[in-house]
Amino acid sequence: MRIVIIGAGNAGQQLAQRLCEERHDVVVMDINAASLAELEDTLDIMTVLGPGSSPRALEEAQIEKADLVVAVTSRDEVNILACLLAHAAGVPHKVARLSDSDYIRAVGPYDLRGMGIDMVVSQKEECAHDLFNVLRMPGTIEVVDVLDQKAIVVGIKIDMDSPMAMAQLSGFPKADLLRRIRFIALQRDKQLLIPRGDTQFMIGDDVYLAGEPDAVTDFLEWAYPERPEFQKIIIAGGGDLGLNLAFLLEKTAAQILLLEPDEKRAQFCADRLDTTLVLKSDPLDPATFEDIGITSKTAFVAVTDDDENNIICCLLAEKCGACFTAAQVTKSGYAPIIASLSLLDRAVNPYNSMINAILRFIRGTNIESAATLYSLAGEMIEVKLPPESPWVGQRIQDIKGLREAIIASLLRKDNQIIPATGNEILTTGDRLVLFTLPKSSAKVLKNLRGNN
Amino acid sequence: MNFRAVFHLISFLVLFTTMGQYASWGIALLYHDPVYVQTGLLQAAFFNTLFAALLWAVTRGPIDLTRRDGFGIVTFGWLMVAHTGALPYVLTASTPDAVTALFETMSGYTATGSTAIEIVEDLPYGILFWRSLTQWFGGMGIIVLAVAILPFLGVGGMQLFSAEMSGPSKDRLTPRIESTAKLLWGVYLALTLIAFLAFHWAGLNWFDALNHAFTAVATGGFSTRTASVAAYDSVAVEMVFVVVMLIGGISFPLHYRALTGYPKSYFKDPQIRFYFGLWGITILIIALNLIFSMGLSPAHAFRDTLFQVTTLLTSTGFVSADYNQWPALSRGILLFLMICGGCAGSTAGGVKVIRFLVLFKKALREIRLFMQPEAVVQVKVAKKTVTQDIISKITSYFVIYMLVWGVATLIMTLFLPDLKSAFSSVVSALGNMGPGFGSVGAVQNYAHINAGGKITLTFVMLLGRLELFTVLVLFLPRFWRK
Repeated sequence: MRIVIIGAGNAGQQLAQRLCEERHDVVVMDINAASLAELEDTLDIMTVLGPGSSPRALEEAQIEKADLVVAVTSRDEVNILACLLAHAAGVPHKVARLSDSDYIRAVGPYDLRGMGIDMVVSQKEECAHDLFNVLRMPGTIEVVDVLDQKAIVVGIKIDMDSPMAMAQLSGFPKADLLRRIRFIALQRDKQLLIPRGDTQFMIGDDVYLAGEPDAVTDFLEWAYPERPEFQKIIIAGGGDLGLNLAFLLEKTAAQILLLEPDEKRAQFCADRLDTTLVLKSDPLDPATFEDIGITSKTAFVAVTDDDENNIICCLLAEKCGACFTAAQVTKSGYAPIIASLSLLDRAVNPYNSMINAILRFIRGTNIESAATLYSLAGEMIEVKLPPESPWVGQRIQDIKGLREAIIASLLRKDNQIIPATGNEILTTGDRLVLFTLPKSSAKVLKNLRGNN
Repeated sequence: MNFRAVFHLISFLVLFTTMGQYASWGIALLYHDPVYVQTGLLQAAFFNTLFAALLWAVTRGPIDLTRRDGFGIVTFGWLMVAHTGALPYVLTASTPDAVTALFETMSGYTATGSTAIEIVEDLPYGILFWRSLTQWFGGMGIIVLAVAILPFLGVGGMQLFSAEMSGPSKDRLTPRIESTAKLLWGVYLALTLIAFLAFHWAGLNWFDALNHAFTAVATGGFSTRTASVAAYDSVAVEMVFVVVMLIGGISFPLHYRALTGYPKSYFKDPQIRFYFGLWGITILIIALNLIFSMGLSPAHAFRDTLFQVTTLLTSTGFVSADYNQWPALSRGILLFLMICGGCAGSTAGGVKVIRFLVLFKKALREIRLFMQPEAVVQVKVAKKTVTQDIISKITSYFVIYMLVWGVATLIMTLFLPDLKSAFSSVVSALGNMGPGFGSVGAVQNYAHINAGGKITLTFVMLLGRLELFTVLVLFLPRFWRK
């Protein structure tokens, strides 16, 4: 697939890298020659110098040959214009990243989807939603809604006092809980494991499981008896992400604090928010931490525009006794350090939501979503089983194409979530949530569609 | 440098080129070469296959390449295939010694076309074919071939690709380098096929047509005749040669664009204009010079000049007339053409037209600035500003080219009777040309030079083909430090 990425910033770079790994033909456009040169040095891509909104530059990038155009420059107007021009040139799929919610919520004649832009991604909103899900379910590091929110996939970290530590699936202490959920995979250091009967859960493992929301909640209550709801949630940074998150969290019972050093911005946040307490104070100042009173039932989320500040804030909060810390980290190079030093409970990268949106397009027809998970190096795909699939009518344990994937969850036509055990027989129209091993999603999907 | 991964990839290069030795064996069978030639070729091919397999087996493992490894792969890869490619000559006793065999092979792969074989007609068919085939492999490049065929090169592929393709900046035809390399080899293959049919139509037999198609499109210059193209003494043959060589001297990305529906690209390219302008003007001057000072008939003068200017501008090195006998002005112009070379991205050698074009405009700019220091003057090619970065690369390339020429000339004076032969042998090797002046002139060969001289020239040919930097970085002590 030929994909043109407009904008070689942080987002464009991570996207280009991801798409190159999957061996797509990638063209990157930017107005900065230096960042293009740097990118071309490390990736097998073609680069075109020039603004994405310039017809001349788009022509040079041979935009009419592209199957997908992704506009991710820092300016909304450029992104929209680039997509409109690509639409005029006959590009079948266009994705734009936008930050101004006016564009996203526009309806009627102003709806961008009506002008040929297939998908508008607001990474800040998606990222806020991501964090909101995690904060709603204490104990988790990631929560993803799947199958029209009828099921969820949840990531948890096994710590010292968890009853799961050292447990095995065969002879699991709570067999009744186990029947309603399904373990997908676990990450131990750099190793990705698919849990089998004799797999032993160890302290420090990141475990992902899937099931109906109630079943998962019941399981979490057992797995984390000491973790009640957060009483106080502190958000450092009143940017778009912080503001969106605070807005979502106001629906919960927790007390919400928003720290924003800039007076005007703080006032703006206070205008938009209702029950949240907005403080005009610098989250990097230790005196602030004494003021706001962090207890063992406090969650701390740092979402300023500065990665390093976010990490330091979280470390300070943890020192003061916060039980959960999360930070926005945009530089992909920091991820390994954060993981190996366990600096934070959760780092969020706003570009992930965009990468997931792009993945969905690439994976093709029948695919309802495709997503990467926070700490698993694989991919999660939601797919509807087509009638011509060789999987139809087979028992799950007999499917040969499933060697590099696991079925996490299964939704029948009658809206019933069914545990995807080995004996279950698949039928046409089943909606599956698949977890595939790294770099094998294309192969698994080819198997599923049966067009060898 | 990651020697394991580097030599793992080199094992593939050896394997690819060895396939050509099996083909040569097939030719030897087809044309009933003596039995010792057939067994010699098969032995060489078999031994090299075994060697490649062994090298492959002992160096297996993950391929993770850095920029430095790229230089290692290209330089050591070329050295390795030159050595394994020399084996057929040695095992069939076609050359008097191993050094001559190595010289002949490197002259083949670098598409130089200098030969150290006194009477080419004495060579068996299988060896003649192998000799031409090495030029064809080297013309577009064995590394480019590897990039086209081996899918796992990825990013490293671009590094390797640019180390072997000629010219200051590399054109990507497609986003992925693998498909660019495939397209370039496809164009190369198609042009070779057309040249093959054209040569046969002009009157060459099938064997000669095939060999000359290989060596003319690659702008190499090996011939199946000692007297080179002069042996045919036919205007039609010479004209076909001229056209094929000119095509070989034009950048292949441009051929691709023209063949895929943009024939106007030829006229828009500033390099092409300069290339053909230079070609036309030098033909005119030399032909007039020949007519007035040697008393040749205009038809004769233009025929000889047309061929010799084309063959030397494209760094091919076929011979239709002994230009050593020409007046000094003509020889001076020919020497300049030898240094200048063809277009970037072509199979031709030399400094490359585009570099001269930029240097020329840069010089013009400096002169204008001298007159009017406050003027803002940009160096432009095809209405696009050439960045300072590229200008400085081109200038340093030119300086290093001259430096290598000087040093190598001094070394060659040890092995050759006169300075003229020494400096022209180096110009010829560095520009991947073939013949020079004096004792290495148009109707002479390199057989009389001793082993030391041959080794020096072998190395200079490699330097010229890989455009200096790739090879020279290996001489930096820093390169070898971790």
